[in-house]
Amino acid sequence: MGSMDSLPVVHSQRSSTRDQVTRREWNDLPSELLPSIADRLGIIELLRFRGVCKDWNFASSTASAEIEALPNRDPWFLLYGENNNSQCTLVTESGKQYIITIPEMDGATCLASSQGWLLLYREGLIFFFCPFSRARIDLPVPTKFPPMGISDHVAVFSTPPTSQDCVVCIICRTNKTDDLELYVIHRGATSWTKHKLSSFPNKIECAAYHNGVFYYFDNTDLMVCFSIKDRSISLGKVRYVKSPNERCIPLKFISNVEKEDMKKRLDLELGDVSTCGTTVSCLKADKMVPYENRANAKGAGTRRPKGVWFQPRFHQIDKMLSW
Amino acid sequence: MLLSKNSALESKDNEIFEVEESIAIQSELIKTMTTMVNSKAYVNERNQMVPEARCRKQANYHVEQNNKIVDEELSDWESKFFEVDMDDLHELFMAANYLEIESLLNGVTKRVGDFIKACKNVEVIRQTFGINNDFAAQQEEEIRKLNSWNHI
Repeated sequence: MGSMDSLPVVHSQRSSTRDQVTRREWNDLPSELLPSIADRLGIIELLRFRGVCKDWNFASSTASAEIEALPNRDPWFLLYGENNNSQCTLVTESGKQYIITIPEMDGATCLASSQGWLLLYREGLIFFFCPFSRARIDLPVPTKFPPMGISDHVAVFSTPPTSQDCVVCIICRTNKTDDLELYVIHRGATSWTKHKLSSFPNKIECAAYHNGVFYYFDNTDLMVCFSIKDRSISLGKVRYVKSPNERCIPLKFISNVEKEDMKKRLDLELGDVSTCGTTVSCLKADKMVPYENRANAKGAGTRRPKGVWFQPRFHQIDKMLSW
Repeated sequence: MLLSKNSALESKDNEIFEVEESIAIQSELIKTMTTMVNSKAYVNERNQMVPEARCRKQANYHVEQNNKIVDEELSDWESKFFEVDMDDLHELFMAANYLEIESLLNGVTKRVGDFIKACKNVEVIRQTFGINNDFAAQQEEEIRKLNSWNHI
């Protein structure tokens, strides 16, 4: 940050003709040099870069603010659904806050978040959404999907939706029973498959995907596993490895201290806000940021704010891209 | 074991200066021309259209880079090296591109990124770099929607 303070003043003390020559020079920069600048930009700078002129916009067509995806980067937070005019509050990993208008998130609920993609449920539709680029990929609608508000919905997807191998798995509870339902869909399929797990009363707190298995953890030491290959649900108990050389599933829980620090950094009144979690890739294991589903005290269907932890990325997709 | 060879590079301004060959070939362009010409110790770059100031900077850049072993020292030195104004940065950019020196290009693009980061909004970027806004009204409106940030 120190180096920014020492940036020279734009209007230097050179003669005005020299200034004019300089300005033209940057305007005539060979266009093949522009992508190398765009590729290094963070998300906010990239958005501005794309608004400068046609050449700069075209040159950054494949830039995705990859720099935001470095391991161990804290996720950003989006608070949405607070009011009627589509305004969302965005908090960066350094605590900077922005107000941003995203109409697509009006009345939506975020089910999953990973690598810059959100899985949203809105008015009966389910779709992938990138809040910065507004890219959208619609999924087939599951029949008789339990409505939001009554049940906890926690979802995970195996890879970004642009990958042919993407599998989505949504877990939810119906009608205040102790039974869990799993809805699974593969990329390219036109319908969901449904699986059931009886008698699992505990709330799901964390969820992740690793190597063909979806993991859902409750607030004790139990986990629900869904294997894509076997198409079956199994129950398990969490066991922590004792030595670093032991083979293990590379997942870890966020500590309470980390949880509190993340909330403090937000500097927002979260109260009854339901938040969708995510996983943060770290060197040895993925760190799971928990989901917090709070019952809607005012009753299902009333508008209330929700939040999501996510990685800021600028995903650009072909308009013709479909599930 | 060969003694370190020196290449003589002549700039557009007709100044010749000697650079250790291992440094000279950091430039992909010079490397290619050297192997093409197949000369051993002396390479005359008469057709090199690079002003003297740029050439000297490249040579200095690499001499210093090879001398610095400690990472911290290098990054400190690098930040000072790139602490130049827009005009010099542009020259460095063009030179690094022409001479095809990857490490220099990386440093320059990062620095340009820093300049962009320091700009509060799109309009300031345009002023800083002297870029004309050539968007059609509708395209501009679409972009403005994506860019509708307000810092609290």
